[in-house]
Amino acid sequence: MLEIKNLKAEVDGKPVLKGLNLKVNAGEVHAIMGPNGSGKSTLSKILSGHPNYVVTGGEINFEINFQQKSIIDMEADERAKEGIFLAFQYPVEVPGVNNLTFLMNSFNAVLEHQGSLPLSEEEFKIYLDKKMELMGLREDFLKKGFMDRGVNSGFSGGEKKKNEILQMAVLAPRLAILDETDSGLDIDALRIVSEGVNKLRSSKNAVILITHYQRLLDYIKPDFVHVLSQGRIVKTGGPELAHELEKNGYDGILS
Amino acid sequence: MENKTNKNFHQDYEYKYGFETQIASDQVQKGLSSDIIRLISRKKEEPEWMLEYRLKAFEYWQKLEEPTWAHVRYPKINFQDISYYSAPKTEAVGKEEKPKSLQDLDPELIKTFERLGIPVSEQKRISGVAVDVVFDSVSVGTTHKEELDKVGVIFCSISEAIKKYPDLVRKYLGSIVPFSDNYYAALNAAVFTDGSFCYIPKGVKCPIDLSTYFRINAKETGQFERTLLVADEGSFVNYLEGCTAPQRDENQLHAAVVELIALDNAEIKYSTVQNWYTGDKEGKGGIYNFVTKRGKCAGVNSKISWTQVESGSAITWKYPSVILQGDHSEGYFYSVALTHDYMQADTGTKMIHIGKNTKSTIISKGISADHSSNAYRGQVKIMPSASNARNYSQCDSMLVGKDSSAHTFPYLDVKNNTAQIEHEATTSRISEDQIFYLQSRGLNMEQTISMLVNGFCKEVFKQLPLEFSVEAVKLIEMKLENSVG
Amino acid sequence: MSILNSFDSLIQSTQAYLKKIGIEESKINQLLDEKKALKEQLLEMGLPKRTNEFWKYTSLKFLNDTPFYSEFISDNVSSDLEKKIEAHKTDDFFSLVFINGFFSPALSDNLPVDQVYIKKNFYSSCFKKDFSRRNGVESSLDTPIKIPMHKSEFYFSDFFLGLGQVYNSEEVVIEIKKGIELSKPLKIILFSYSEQQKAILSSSRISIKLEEQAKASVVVKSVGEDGVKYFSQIQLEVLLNKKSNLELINSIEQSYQAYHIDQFKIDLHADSQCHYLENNIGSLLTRHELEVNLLQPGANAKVMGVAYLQKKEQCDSHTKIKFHASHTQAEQLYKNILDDEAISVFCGNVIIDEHINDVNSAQLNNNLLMSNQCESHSKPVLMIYSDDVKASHGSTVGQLNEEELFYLRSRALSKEKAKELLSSGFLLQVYELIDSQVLRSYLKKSISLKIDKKQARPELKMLKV
Repeated sequence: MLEIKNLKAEVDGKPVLKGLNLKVNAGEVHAIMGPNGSGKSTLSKILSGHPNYVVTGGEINFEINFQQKSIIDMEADERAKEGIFLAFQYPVEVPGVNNLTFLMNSFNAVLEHQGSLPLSEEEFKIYLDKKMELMGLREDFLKKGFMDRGVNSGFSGGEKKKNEILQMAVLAPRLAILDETDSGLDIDALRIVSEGVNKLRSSKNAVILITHYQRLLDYIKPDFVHVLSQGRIVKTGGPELAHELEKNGYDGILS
Repeated sequence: MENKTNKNFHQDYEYKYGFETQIASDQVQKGLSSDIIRLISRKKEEPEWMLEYRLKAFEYWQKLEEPTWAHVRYPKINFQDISYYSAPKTEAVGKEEKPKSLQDLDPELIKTFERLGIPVSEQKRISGVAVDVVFDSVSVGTTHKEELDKVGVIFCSISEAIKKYPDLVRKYLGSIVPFSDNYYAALNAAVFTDGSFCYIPKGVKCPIDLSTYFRINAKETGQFERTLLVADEGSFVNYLEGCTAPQRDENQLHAAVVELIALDNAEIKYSTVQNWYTGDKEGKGGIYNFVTKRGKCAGVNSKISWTQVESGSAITWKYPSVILQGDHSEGYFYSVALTHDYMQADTGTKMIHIGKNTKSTIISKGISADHSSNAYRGQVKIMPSASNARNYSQCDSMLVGKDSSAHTFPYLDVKNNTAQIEHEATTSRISEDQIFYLQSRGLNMEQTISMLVNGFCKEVFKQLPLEFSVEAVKLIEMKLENSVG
Repeated sequence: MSILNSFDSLIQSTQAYLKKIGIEESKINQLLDEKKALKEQLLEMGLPKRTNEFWKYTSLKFLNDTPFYSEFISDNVSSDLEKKIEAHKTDDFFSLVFINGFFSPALSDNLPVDQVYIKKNFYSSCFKKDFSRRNGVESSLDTPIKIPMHKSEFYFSDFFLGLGQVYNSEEVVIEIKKGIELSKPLKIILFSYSEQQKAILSSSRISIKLEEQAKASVVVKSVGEDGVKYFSQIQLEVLLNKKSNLELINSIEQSYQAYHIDQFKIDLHADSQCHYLENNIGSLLTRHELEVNLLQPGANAKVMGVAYLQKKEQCDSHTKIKFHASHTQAEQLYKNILDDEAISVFCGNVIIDEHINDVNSAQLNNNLLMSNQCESHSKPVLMIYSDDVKASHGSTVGQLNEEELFYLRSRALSKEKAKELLSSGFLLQVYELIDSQVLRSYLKKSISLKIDKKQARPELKMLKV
């Protein structure tokens, strides 16, 4: 579904990715781990189309209408409509924009792109309700008056991450990139978020988990684990690789 | 400020520069008139055009009224009660010539500088810094001349420059701070006696840091120095300024003007550690520091950065500013201003964005202790022509004790909608809780204050050249110890 | 200056009004003499000049160019006028109506006497007290410098205070009784209208007092007719007693040709709370001078401002939030969207007195500039005399936040849609801080009307309700 060939990228004029290769097929979960500064966040920003991150070489091909197409020149919203979703490491607060309005507009934008008719507010509310239930967030969020608030307004770090997963459920992307979703979460939040992600897994979609620690991978079991170092993927393995990293640290693996 | 050895920082900080040097000086009678100005100009053997400039400035000054808008209070200054010229007599050589080497200086002077820690004698000099020393109103010597001559860098007293390089001086003097700019600029233009002149030729990265050290010694004089620094295309210079004065009961006035100009692709870094006498614990005496400092980024891609640590003088009134005229030019202002006892400070900066894609950063840290008053006054002005201007300002105040005060007066005037301006200010204090916590982890008072102050000021300190930053940290720590303990 | 040239019209209207409410002739004459004397003083004082720090961005030329008249319209209003006023009265509010600054009980609703008490203070008794307090002892310059405390604060502009005294003859006092929560929000409609097709000057003086534990929501709505030039002035004083709670909206919905200057003072006593919002969506020139005093522990204020300015509109907000006591808190949020050649001026002074502790102050001013000819001036000032405080302020000027734009686009929203959501959200965020649902929908409707009336940018279309 996703094929990255020899990707080179820079931010603020500094090269960060120096020839990254990765192949992700539908139905798979890939974990990408690496020390700080290895380029993990850059990869997620590049895939979602952040304007400050520039591709300087290589290819990124994504399956659209059963054909591999390059997405390098596609803008962020176009990519989202094609089914790419980034769960941010630090979700931004947008206080003036209402959660419900925002989600509804997003969902309808994707729907229209796929050729379907948009949902009315009433219809969307029912849909959203179901998704909140599925993610185990319904009671919690409704209590907090979620629908009336601004996006991530006044949310704690954990709540923001939960909101990201809810958005993922609503938009049903084909490729979800979770950027250090586990950072700052306590055990309960981690469980809820992981269960949510697991429920959304299917043979038609794929997940890239970017994480620092092995802990998340106990909850969301990856099919492949990659180690990213100095802008390249230097080692690939199965889930055991994560355990090895835990035991020996990055230095142990990279030497 | 140079590296000093054998520093013994006492528990009670005493102003170590408070001594007076007994030396014969040539001092002009008190008072200000066009005759005095003519006298000064004659003593300095200035060309006709320089005298004319002074007289025009004096005429203009007489029409102005002393400004009172700053957030500081002081008794009216009697400008007729000040002597405007006092120079140490040079016995060894004839009056007309400056000593060829610093060995020829009056030995008392040399002793003074050793005591201040300024390495004047050639053998003991610290390599890496050229020093121009200004004692009272006169520049008494400059080190490292050969090294600078080799690369074509001109670094000398401004009096010398007026005589030796009149075209250069005439071209730039007053072009950035015209005498009509403000009251003290006019006064300075009329009576300035000395200061430093520096010219970095095209493409030259000045091999050593340049430094001027100002010392006020004589009583009842005012110090009006004038500094002009020109960085030609593609050049770079790191410039350091240090100042001290003896302890006196009367207030002394220091009204200086510093002009910087950076042409295409040039960069000037100007750092000041100011430790003028602040007055005693009751607020008596101390220097009035009213300075106009301005840099113009005239060229494309030029950069000017002002870094200051203000820890002295009874009253500080200065706004080092940058005019960002050239496209893609950048202006920086980093400041730590410490006030204690009865000091007052009203300081800040002005960043005027004129060219396209200009950028400015302001980081100002104010620490006010005891009964002092510390105000930040800054202006960020985006002219209609300044498209894509970027500014970030951060002004933080730290209050020590219950009687001090801190104020922030930022002016953000934007006339172009592609600009992005961000301004933030916070206030905090050194609390007994924080001190207790650090002490309970084994740190003594000195180390505690050091950590807290360092953390607060580190963004500014790291802009200073290494020796300066070490000095600056120690200076602030010592001054604060009295106020906190 | 021409504003005082039409003094005769003031004499006429004042006489007519005071006669109508039954004041005796001798008192009326005495009053008019006092006003005449005051008018002479004002002429001598002159208008504030551009060299005055607080007026440097504002031109008062219009006060010299235009003669403004005072006009008292008695109760037998034309059906035309009555219809116009009825249009502003809605069922979800109690309404009080002022026409050209004169209170009109006939057109106002009857307020429930068990909840609220309306009375009037006649001229002499209310104007004797000084509306603004002047602090800061000017020490003689001859004394030795001991205490460098120079509490320079801004004062209410004397000229306009004086002008109010010349034009007003009474103060209308609204008192909410102890422990009462007003059953409906109150709308004070300040309507400017001329039967003689003249440019009207209306001046109102109002006082709102909440007794202990009282609670109310109030909208002060300044309106006139589209296309008509007029000048309106308000002096409003709010006193919040212990544990009382007020939400106050100052809504400027004037015509494009109108001028508006107001001076509001809000005093908070122990444990009282106030939400104040300036809704600047009308008038060619608006100037607010606001003073908020947190006088006793537990006082809490949220001071907000919203401005949507187009064409040549200008809005000046000068605020002074002063902390007099410990354990107090204030939050200030002013957001402006400027288009065309509009100008916004924000001078926010936060003053924290000495020897108090546990004080929390946050101030934020955000300006969104949509055209390349608009201007924004922002001066957020902090004057802090105590050390145990948390005070922060911030100001931003420029465009929409890039990170926010990217976040929305990464959720499939097009560039235009993301801009729309963020631009309208920019102002709506402030409306959301008001507790009362009735007031919130009032605000949203008010800005929607402005969007309708004056072709606004497509980015702002989500402000249409």
